[in-house]
Parts: sequence; structure tokens; C-alpha cells
Amino acid sequence: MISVRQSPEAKGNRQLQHEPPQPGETNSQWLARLKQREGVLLIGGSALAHFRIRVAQSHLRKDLLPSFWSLAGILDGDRFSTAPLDGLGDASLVPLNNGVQTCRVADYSEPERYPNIAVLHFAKDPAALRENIKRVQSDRSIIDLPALILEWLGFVWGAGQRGNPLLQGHGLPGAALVEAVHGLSRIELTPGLSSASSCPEAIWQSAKWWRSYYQETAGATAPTHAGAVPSGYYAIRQEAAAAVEHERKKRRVKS
Amino acid sequence: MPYVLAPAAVSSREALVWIGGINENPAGARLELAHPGGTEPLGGAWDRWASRNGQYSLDHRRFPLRGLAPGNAYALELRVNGQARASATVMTLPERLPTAGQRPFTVLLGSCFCVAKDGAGRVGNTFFHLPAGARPDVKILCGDQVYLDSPWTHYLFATHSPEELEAEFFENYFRTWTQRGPASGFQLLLESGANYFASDDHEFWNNAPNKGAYVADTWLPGGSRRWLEVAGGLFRRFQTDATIARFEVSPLSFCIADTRVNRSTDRTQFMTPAELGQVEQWLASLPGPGVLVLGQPVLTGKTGIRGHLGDWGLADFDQYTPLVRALHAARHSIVVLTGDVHFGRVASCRLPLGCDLIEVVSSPMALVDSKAKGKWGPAPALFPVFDIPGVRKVPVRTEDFSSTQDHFLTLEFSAVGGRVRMVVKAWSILGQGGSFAGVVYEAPGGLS
Repeated sequence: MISVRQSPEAKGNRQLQHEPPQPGETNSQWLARLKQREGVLLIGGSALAHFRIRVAQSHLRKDLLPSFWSLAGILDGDRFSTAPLDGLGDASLVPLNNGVQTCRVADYSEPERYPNIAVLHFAKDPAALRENIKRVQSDRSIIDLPALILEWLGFVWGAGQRGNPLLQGHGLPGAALVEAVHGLSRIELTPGLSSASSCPEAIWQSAKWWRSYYQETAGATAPTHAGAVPSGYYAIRQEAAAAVEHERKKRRVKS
Repeated sequence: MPYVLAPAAVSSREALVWIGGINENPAGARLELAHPGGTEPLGGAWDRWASRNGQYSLDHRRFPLRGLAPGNAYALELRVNGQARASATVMTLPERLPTAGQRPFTVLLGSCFCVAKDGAGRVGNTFFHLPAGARPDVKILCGDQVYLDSPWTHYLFATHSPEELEAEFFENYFRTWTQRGPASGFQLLLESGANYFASDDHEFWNNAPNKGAYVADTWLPGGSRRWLEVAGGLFRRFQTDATIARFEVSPLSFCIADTRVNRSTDRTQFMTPAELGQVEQWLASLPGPGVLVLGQPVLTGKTGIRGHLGDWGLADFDQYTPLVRALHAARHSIVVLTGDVHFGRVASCRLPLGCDLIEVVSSPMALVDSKAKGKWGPAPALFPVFDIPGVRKVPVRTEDFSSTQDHFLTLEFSAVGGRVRMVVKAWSILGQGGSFAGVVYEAPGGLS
């Protein structure tokens, strides 16, 4: 288990609303319908790599079930910033951008491949976060995301003897980016976490179960507190994590 | 030039905030300290230090914030003529230790930070990345927060005038206290939560107040006196003017005792008799487990002739005997927190009255010189190592944790039944080759 303190709250955050997708609705359409263009974006994928990441985060859950989530980023219109494991592209660009990429939401829109989605709001002023993203992107001394990418690629590919990086205190790069970007604005994303294991599940638990913490700290830490009581929307199409073999399916169809 | 906020002592209802203006003129400006409860005007007197050459100055004060609520975080902002110039956060102490399931009361322990060896501000960056659940309520920096005798080559071959010492020492403090980068720098650590300081030799020079083998200024009495005067003045202003500090989070008591400032050259005392009396009294009247902070380990033997070239340890002093006696007479568990030795270690022994003594060593945060890299070794097999009349030697167990990498520790305390659970976590400084982060020790059965 990873050391996670349970929230004292018995009821989940009502400002975090379940908003089921309409039949055939893509993730892009879901965001557009809810007029969500900013915030922390969580995505739960069903490809093998995403499945393994969801299972890896079960150590943060008291029921030990896989997480709904496999990727975290910061939404900005129809794009989002993250440090993804898939779509790394030109390896030479990884150190140049500190592993940070701007991805199109459209590429993560297909419900079968990315069945779960949430958008969460922790910051009063999302514009400040954009500046912070640039700082992390250009200054690897803030957080070394390529090091985390390597750890996680090794895990999802089963390379060598690598175990679950979260158990070694290596956060998931996209979530570590989101946490660092908020941290630069002094916004705490994972009050329950006591190990260096940033991950989408920890962010999700904060939004869902730590409302009173944010209420108290927003009051007590004025005058310049940038944080807000978390709010947002989520949609879960795949509760139990399963790896859907998208590529093989395509191959079978072709043959 | 900068202003710096660094919370100092804290209680459940009050916080003392160190406010420093470096090469500034606060008396000629309108200063305010903004906090969630309002804004405090900072009129009145400032303690001003100015170098003889007129080039450097420090205006500082320790400002009390009163009427705070226990166990709360407060964001502070220093405004100068309406402009935000510095910020900090401070946590008030909870009235009692948290119980299981609540966030534990967390103390950061670190020592030996050489700013010249942490150009990228990695210690601050590691602090920035501490997960919220592991972030400290208070920090204990138990010696060598600055290396005033570094680089040693500079001080071996030349002596210095008081003006030069002032300039060099001030610049060293200035670089350390204002080290700042994006999500990095020692200032980030200083401004986040209360700081309790104790000094060790490098707040002065290696082996102070005895002659330092590679510090030419200290070879003659006049030189060491000048050095002590300048370095001591800056220590009192930047770090602390208290040689004994205490606080309680019931049932746990803390005592931070300086073992360097009032050390004698004849190896009779490492603190004044009155200070030792306070420590003895504190140990004798503990209502529950005690945490004693010292500049050097107590689980140690005599240094012997090496002390003339290196650094005398506590066991080399006459006062070690009454300190050991007082520890052996303790009726509650004692945790000794210390640094100095350039390695991390946990060792424990059961004292004659059945209480545990656990010594936790954390050093360094930023190693001063690769030649000074610590050689980890287990604690001596017995405590005390040598005969002390009337004191029974008890066996010492050295725990698995060992590190010579740059790091700091956090100690988490919570109340479980009538005992205190203590969990020690180690955090290697990011980007320095170390890779550990997590639990390295838990006191079996808790502290009583």
C-alpha cells in the first residue's frame, strides 16, 4: 500500500458532479456540452499502457481496485498540457520541453479508447497556471519529468525488473506536472498523500474527498490564496479497468 | 535588495516571525505584515547591523503574531509601501498530538547545508516536492546552516581583518537566506513553517572555539576572538538568539539546546552550567516522551587526539558526564535529534529505567566538500562507551538506515493509546544521485 491519509469526510464533494455522457457522445463533445475549457483534465484509458497505469494506482485506494484514471493534464480550450507516455514523438524534443507536450483533446476523444473523463477546478485563476506550465517546460530544475517518463515507460513495457514506480515514490509524469504547476501557485493538489507518488488517482481523491480541507485552507491562508474549493464534472464509462486490444481488433478486421 | 520572512518559534496560539531587510532601509518605508486576520503595521524599532565598511546591512526583528488558532496554516505577506516583497507560511502547533488517521505532527530535521554546493537550489526543490501529507509543521536545523569557513583553501593561507570577515560572512548568509529559484532554493524552505536553529562549528569555523587546523585566523587568540564576535553576531541575528528553546505538543516535549555557542576551549563545557541545568531539569520533569536536539551525537566515544585536527565531540567534554547521567535517569522515552557527521543513522538503546533512547542523525543537506564525505559507521556498541561512575553501560542497536547522500529527514508523531508513534522518513535531495524517499524507521511499540 502507498501511505494515503483518509479524508475525515463521510460524503463526497457535491461540487464534483457526475455528468453521464449522452449516447455516442465523444469526450470532446462532452466537454463542449458542459462548456469546460479550463481546469485539470483526467482521462482514463483502456489501451494496455493505460490499463497498467490504472492498476498501478490501486495501491492508493483502500479497496485496492484499479483507478478510473490513467492520464492527467491541464486543459486549455481544445488542447491540454501533459507529459504523456504515448505519442512521445521525436525523442530529441523530450529534454528540450522537459517532457511536456500540448496534446489535442480530439486525440483522446474516442470513448472506447478513453472511456473515462473528468475536469476539475482547483485554481481561482487558470491564467497563472499557463505561465507556470511554461516555467516547468523551460526549467527542468523544477521537476525532472523525463526521469519520471523513463521510470513509467519501463513499467508499462515490463522492461527488466522494474516494479510499480509509485511504490518507489516516482509520480506519474502528467500528474507530477499538474501538481508542480499548481504548487508554483501554492495550490495543494494532494493533501492526503504522504509519499512522493503524484498520480491522477491522488488528484481525483483530493477533489472528491477533501472539500473541507480546501474550504478551511482557502479561508485561513488568505490574503493571497490562489486555490479554490474543488469543483468539476466527471463521466465514467468503464468502472472496472480492462485492457481493450484496439490494435489487434483493427488487424483482425483488416484480415 | 531583498526582504525575507522566516517563521521562528511557534506555539498553538502565537507565531514569532523573523523579518529581515538585507541592505534595505525599513525605517524609511511603510512596512506591513498581512495575514488572514488582518494587517499589522511594522513601525517601531528594528535591530540594525551594519558592516564597518558601510557596504552591508541587516535590519531585522522577530515579530509576534498573537491570537492564532491551534493547528492552522497562515499565509503571511510582507508589504513595503503597499508592494508585496516577501511571503511565508506558518503552522501553529496543535494543542495535542494528532491521533491515528489524522495528519501526524511532522518535524523536518536537517543539518550541514553549504549553499555554494547547492547552486541549483536542490534542497529547496526537494522541499517543494514534499507531498502534502509529509510536509513539516516545524523544521529543526541543527547546525552548519552556513559554512563560514568555506572554501577551506581561502582560509588556510591568509588571515583576515574584521572588515573582511564581516563582508565574507555576511555574503555567505545573504546567499543562503536569499537563495531562490522557481520551486527551489533554501529560502523556500526557510519561509515555509517555523524554523528552530541550533549552531554547530561551521556557524563559526571547523572545531570552534578551538583552533581550526585549516583556518589561519584562529591560530592566535586575537584572530579567533574577532571571528567569534562577527560570526556570533550574525548567527544571533539571522538564526536565533536563544541557546535553549522549548515547545510542547502534548504529551511530547521538545528542547533545542545549542552545544556550540557557549563551548569552552578547555573541553569542560559545551553549554553554560545554567543551560545544562535547564536541560537536566527538562529531562527530569518530562510529562511524556522528550525530543532533545543537540548539535552533535550523544551515542559516541571520545575523539582522542584526532580532535585537535578535526572536531571535538560531546563525549570529549566534562559536561558529557552529567548529560549522560540525566539521560539515564529519564522516566520517558528520549529522542535525540542531531547532525554534524555527514551521514544519516538511527540507533537506539534501552536506558536503565526501562525507557528508550533513540538517536536520529541527519547530515548533510548539501555536502561542503567531497573530501568531507561521511564514512557511515554503526553507533558504538555501548552507551556510554567509557566508564562513568554510577552509570550502567547499556547495549546500543544500530538500525538499518544508513546514508551518506545529501538528504533531510521528517519525523512524524501521532498519539496511539497512551503512547506516541514515531515514523522517520528520509528524503534524498533530488538530482544529487540519491533516490530514496520513504520510511526508514518506526520506533517499535512507540514512545512512552
